[in-house]
Amino acid sequence: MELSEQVAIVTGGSRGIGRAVALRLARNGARVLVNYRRQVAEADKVVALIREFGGDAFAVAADVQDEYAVEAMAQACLERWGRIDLLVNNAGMSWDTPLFRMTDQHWHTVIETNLTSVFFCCRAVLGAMRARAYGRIVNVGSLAGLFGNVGQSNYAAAKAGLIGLTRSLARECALDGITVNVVAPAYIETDFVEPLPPLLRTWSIETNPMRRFGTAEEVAAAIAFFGSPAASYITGQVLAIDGGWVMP
Amino acid sequence: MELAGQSAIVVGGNSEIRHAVVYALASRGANVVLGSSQHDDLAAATVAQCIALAGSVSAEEVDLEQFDSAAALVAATLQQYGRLDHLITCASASGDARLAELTTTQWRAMLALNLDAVYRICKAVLPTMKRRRYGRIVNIAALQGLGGGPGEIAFSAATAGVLGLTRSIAREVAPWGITANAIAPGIITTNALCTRVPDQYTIDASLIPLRRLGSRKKLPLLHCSLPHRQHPISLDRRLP
Repeated sequence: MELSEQVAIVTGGSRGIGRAVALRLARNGARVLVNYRRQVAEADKVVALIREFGGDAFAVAADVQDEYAVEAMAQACLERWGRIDLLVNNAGMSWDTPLFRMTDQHWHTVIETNLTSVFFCCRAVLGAMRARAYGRIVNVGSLAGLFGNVGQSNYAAAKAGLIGLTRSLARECALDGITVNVVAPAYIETDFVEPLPPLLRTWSIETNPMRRFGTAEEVAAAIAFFGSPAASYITGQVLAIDGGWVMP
Repeated sequence: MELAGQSAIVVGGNSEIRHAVVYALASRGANVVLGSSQHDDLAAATVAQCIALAGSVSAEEVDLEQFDSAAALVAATLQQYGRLDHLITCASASGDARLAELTTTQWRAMLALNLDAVYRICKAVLPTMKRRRYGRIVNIAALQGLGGGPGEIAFSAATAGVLGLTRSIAREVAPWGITANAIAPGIITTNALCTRVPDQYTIDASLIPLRRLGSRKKLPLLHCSLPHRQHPISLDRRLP
């Protein structure tokens, strides 16, 4: 199998896109550290599912906004499996409000969760990847990071910032066999889009060439590709997963 | 005087680019309030050098880590000039590093300086711009925000973040006749740059199709022309 023997960390792996990624990577042969913050039951379920089909996984609770928790998570992974080949920075959240109503708390929470956390996670695994001269980092961005979005100036700033971080890191690590890329999904059928106002939901579907939202599995497929040894000459890229909605 | 009677707030950095922006706006007739931090000795120099220009230039201390301070800067500008037409924010580089060496403190300081501050001042200028149904916001980010740069993890994250912020603002406030754009300058000749080793200077230029570095004197022309754009649908335009 493509990822046999390889070790992957998936942040926010208990549900939504992260869950689909963890399952997909495990099916491709990787051993998976399923990171979660609070959803212990869901994370355990993902681990159980992976073990059911003969894969290897374990769940680690860590708030990715906490640099020490992130370091400890990477350490736990190394103690168990001795290597880290793949990091999928998926954990994130949005807290939408128009700019005029936005408070510093809205701003900081979203920047910390979606951007600073990725800095912490990348820094925590870099040494292990460099030591083996191999690594794949895939960051889950958003279409909002490319185009902005009404009511999401905090989220769009964080996800756009993620692209800057990705490209700098891609340049820094290119000689170490490490690639760093971004997938930028549009609306994906997960808990994340449940609070969407019905009108926006309808409009987003009607204006999409495919007339539907994406699935977590469709995002996982792209992440699995960026995360594979085959994607060795691709770095610093941003791939929109949007059903052809904007075609950046 | 294309900007006569208009007023502008310029914030950010301690840079020659900021100086060039203020100079260009004031020489076209705009009254400029330069928001500067506490230990900003270049602000006074800029004010002094702009004294004979058509528009007036003053420096006001502002702490963009506090929204109230940003709002006070806007209030002071309105009190002085009765209106606010332009906001220009300038990114400025400071301590940065490759990922392995980048400390959390450096990361947070860079984001505070080049991303959080831009969010706060943008938020602060919008109420008055909305009331007048006119406003031009130009955020000067950096080429690193588009293409990254080794050893510039935090700076590229912050300036790339400004692009996302700018585009969201542009979408939100377009109905009020306010435009928000970002500029991503490449390598511009400044004194700070000239202190680099000369070899580096040559290599930089040789990699650029035009075989030369940008001029800080020409950069503000973009700032002046962008605020003047009448295109209501010009949501965002990056000029590399």
